[in-house]
Amino acid sequence: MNGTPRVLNRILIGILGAKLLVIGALLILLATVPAVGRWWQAWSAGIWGAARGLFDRTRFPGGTESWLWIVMVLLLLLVIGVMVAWLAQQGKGRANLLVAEDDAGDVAGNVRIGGGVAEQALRAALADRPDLAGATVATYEFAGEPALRIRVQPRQGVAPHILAAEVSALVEALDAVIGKRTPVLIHIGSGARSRFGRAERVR
Amino acid sequence: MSAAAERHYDDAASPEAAATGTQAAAVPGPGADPGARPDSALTERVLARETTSSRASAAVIAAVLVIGLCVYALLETAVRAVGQPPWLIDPQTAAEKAIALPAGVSPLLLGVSGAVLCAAGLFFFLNAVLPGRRARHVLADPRAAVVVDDEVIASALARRARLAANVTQEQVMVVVSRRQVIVNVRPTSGVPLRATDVQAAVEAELRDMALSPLPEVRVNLASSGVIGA
Amino acid sequence: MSAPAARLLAGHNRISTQALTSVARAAAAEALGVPPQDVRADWADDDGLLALSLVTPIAIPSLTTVLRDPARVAAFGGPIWDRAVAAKAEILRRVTELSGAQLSRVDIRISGASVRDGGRVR
Repeated sequence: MNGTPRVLNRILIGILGAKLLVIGALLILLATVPAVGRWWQAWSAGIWGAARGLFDRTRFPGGTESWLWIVMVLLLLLVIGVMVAWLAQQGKGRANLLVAEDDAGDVAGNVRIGGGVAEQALRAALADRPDLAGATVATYEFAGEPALRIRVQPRQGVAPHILAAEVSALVEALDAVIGKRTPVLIHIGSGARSRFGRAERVR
Repeated sequence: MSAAAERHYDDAASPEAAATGTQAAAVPGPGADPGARPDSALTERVLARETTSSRASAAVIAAVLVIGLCVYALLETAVRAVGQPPWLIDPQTAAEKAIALPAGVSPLLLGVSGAVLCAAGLFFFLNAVLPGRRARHVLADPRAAVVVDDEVIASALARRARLAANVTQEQVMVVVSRRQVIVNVRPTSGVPLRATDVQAAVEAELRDMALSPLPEVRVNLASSGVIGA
Repeated sequence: MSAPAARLLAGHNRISTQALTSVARAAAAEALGVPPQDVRADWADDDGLLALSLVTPIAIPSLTTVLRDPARVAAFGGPIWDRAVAAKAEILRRVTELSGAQLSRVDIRISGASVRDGGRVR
């Protein structure tokens, strides 16, 4: 439930993949098929000629270099900037607030309940359970709303639906304690190993 | 933020209701409505995100690659603009060599680099296009969105199968995939075992779990047994 | 504190920031059930009036005891939201009463939870 831009990721990766495929295929063809080599030399020479003409026409007055170089540098910087921004979007979404309202009640002033409240309450309730090997709670902001992610790691053989029902009951207790229902994601996981492989084998 | 606060949990939270003991919805039993899910649209989005890969790692690799290439191109352009000798290859010379291909380069090198680029391109392209489902199932719960790793499911089913078949841990192996659960049991030699018993037990456990998509169960009994388990 | 009505003394009462802070922290601590040293109080000027900003944890019953006995929430004073809103008014009243300073607003941020199993019973 983080803010990683999934669709954008796939689009940009797809574009990059397609470009690399085309260039790679072209190189293979150039190495193997002579007809392609001849076509490439003719076609690219034409493009290169047009480019050089463009560079010639766009010289600085009284200078030897074209100002297109500056445009190129700016374009490169822009691409770098876009890529860095794209990188920064991966894995965003952690937040700190569960509830916020201004001027509630008779007295002016805002009241905020931080994510730490739910995190500490849930962790304390999950800490001493014998059927869990670990539990983590984190606050996120998803679709403009605060949300909680509870990650539990059960020991071998623990029935997930019973565990889910118990954690869900704890969440309902948390609703009563805080006074607000926050959307919650419960992830019953097995640690780092669950990422690989489609079929899971367990004794 | 004020929109978030409007959804106050009114009934169970007010002190008056608590004092009179009429806690209506605070703690429903686990069997209250196992098929329901909270707040459909948001839940569906969260579950869709949690059950498919975000391709964040491939995105990071792609971004770093492109940044590296651009930085290198910037370096060469800057070096040329300043008038210094080029670092690796001057843009002009690079272009001239490129249009002269395949003349200046050995075909083997060309072919190999082409293959490498194709492989990388295929990696990125497939990552973009394939659905990338994670090894997880969704469990129905009225209050929260729940996702369970397949390993946890397999572990619970293995335990149930082991108890139903009355064998040890080493004799049971469960494989859980998206639509299928395969239970492999090696019976104890001399102790007959019916596959239907194991199948019924595992299917009952799966029904209790209320997974979606609900997998089918197949039980394979090994032809040779374990002696003296 | 205002002087008794009979004698008018010349002079000027000024409450130090430190004293105000102690009063605010003590008021918050009592309203929310936490030790005063865990409360952080900051002051700001709000068009001539005083604005108080508090960051504090809050005492709550453990979730497992709430599951067993839902009345625990009420025993602690209700859900956190209601307690925080009530605390705003209470703190403002206390600080104004004890120090005479004019408070315009009280911002409260509940930063954490102090889970109590032997609860306070009001």
